[in-house]
Amino acid sequence: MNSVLIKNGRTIDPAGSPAVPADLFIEDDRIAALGQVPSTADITIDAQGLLITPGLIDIHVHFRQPGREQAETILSGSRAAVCGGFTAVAAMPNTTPCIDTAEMVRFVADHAQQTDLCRLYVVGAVTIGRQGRQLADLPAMAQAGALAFSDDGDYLSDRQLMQQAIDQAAALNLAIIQHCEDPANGRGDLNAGPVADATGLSGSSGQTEAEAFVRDVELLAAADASCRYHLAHVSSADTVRVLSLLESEGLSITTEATPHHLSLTDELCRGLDPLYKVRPPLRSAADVAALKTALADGTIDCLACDHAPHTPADKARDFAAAPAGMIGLETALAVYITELIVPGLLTWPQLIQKLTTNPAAVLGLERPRIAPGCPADLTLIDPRRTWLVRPEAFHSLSRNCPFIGRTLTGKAVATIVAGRIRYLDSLATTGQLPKDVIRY
Amino acid sequence: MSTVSLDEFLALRVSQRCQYFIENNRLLALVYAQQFDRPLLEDLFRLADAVRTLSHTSQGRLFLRALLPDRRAMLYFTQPSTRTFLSFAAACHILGMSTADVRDPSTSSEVKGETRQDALRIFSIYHDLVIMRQSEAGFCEKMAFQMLSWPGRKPIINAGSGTDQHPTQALLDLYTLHRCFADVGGLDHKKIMLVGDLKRGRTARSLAYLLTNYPGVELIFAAPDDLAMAEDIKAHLRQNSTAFIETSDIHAHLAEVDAIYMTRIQDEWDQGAKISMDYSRLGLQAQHLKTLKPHCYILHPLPRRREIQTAIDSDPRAVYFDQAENGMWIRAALIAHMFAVDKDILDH
Repeated sequence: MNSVLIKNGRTIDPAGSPAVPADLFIEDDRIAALGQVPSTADITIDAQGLLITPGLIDIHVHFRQPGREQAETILSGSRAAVCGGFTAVAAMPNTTPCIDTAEMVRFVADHAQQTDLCRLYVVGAVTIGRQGRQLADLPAMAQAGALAFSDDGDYLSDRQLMQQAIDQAAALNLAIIQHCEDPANGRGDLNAGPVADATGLSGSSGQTEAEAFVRDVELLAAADASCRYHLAHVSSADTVRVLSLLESEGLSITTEATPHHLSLTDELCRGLDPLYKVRPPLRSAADVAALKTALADGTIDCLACDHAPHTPADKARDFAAAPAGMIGLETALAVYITELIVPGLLTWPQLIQKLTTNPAAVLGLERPRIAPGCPADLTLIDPRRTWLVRPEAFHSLSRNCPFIGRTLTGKAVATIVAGRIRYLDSLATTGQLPKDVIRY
Repeated sequence: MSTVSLDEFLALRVSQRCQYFIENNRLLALVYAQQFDRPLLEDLFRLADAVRTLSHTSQGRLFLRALLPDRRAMLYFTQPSTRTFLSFAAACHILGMSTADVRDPSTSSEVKGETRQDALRIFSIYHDLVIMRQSEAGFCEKMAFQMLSWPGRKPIINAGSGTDQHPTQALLDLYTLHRCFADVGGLDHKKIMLVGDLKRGRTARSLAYLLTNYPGVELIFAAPDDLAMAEDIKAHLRQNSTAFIETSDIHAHLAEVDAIYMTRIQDEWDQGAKISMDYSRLGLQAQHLKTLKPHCYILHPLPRRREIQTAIDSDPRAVYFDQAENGMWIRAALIAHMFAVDKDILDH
């Protein structure tokens, strides 16, 4: 039997109360005791000054396997996840080929199991080849273990197809995750506004995101059964306005915001550095402010980083030709702390809700808790650490991170998945650490 | 030390006088709030946290009590102050020090015409530390200087002297803010509102002074016109590029501040008509709580009057009672630092 004792830390219960001092004892893959704990264990971690939270979950990542393994693999992405404090991620299906069959779902799940670092949940494509023409076999993918469906990267424009997808997902009780940029509405590389005008590139407005979302709301309201619907990477004040009007409609809609949309603006795109090209595009300061308010008042439920690795060669192309996306797993938590906790917009329990219980609900997972008998998926956070983001420290294979060179506050310092220490920063420990622990 | 006479010492500026009370980064006496700089503050906060953590277990408490059992402290408290007295006594006892107290000079030889200097010199012979609270301005610094020039070099801690200095109150206020913001990026760059009698409240004055140690901190002074923050503190803030604004109404700022430091009107100093405070514009009521940031902490050195409604006490952001507890731990840390047992505590 393996045991880990975490001493002198404070636990955060996402249900609400501020941090509580409590020692925690792990036996095998479960939390065995809290508060009154045995005095010795195989491994003891001194968590003085640290916060202990249920393992963080990021429900929106792109690991490029199969197809673009030079940008990211399931292994390298999982390493980035645990180093960023995440014990679980949901991988989007836009690989090459894409994850649109039960066989492909099993391929990813099996690879994740062999990798054996973080938990990896598979999101299946809604349509075959993500082409938006013909529905994929959702029940078969569900049977194989897919926990949600999405054509992320593209919007499912076809109303009828979307209606069918909603009906099928409702029957399976799984969520559809939608990327609200409708190509029919024009899909620019930049946010419509002064910056796009100055660069001469096409821009798409925040209003188009809201319109694409409203179309889905109509379909959801018209559907016979209630389908869980998750709006990915909300980026605009217009969408936030629609969301706040919707609250009492009785629909099962959840949302997420990304670290980059809640902290960066399109001003960074003036120089047309492809590093800042992302979908939806970075928007204005007013949009950033609206996202922060929506996170604070609970209109936006989840935080997810949309980790989108691209090789330096791909990102070296010019702005129009370069692929969109940024990596985020290793910086996301620090950006959330720096942008939301430090200025007092969110409390710690509120932040941890958006990274544990709320994303778990989107995927229909068991509610994460810190209590005896619960799975020992835990993240230890040093809320005081300030650190410089350096690309050479990344475990991701890619380097397209807009926060490189910034000094951020707060850092994950240990990640424990099913009772096993997968990542450990420079913490004081006693006992023999497993050889495969990743160190900072 | 002996190369300078008392008169020469007293002719120096406060910042120069501070140099006489520190040796190898260790305080020999604590007289002025100005003696604290950022590294010293951080050391004391770390030490106070360690003392607090050790006190959680019986084993830890016994370890602490074994640190200074051979040392004696005298609490010379001729100005009444029950809570500061008890806080210091508890701090001494945490470290195993024994204490004796002088609270009424009329029972000592001072009534026989002995000077207070002589009396204190005698008292200090029996003790290893003098903790002093009295009402005569300038007396504490004079005694601190002299005691360091007498054999034995006994240290003094100023526990409040007259209207000017109360350095351990400033220390515990800052320690409380430090703890409040420990999980949210620290005290740097936070916006802090000081409310009430800022002219005469020595705690608000010292706190504003010490906050210049924290880069990016912005201050809002909210006070009745007659009781606004004095020019000397404002000059010090300008010199250190600490931004501040002044107002006579707190409401416009409630949503933006990270902490509120409330103080009472010190009308015991008023001669004749008492200056009053408009509690509708400078008081904190329960209805304001929803406007405050989720981490906007509310401090008060206590005692309070009507400036904070009691309905606020149960809000987790009201930390004025924790503040009093923090005082005990930081005073224990201060004594441990002065007697050089800080390393034992941190290494334990």
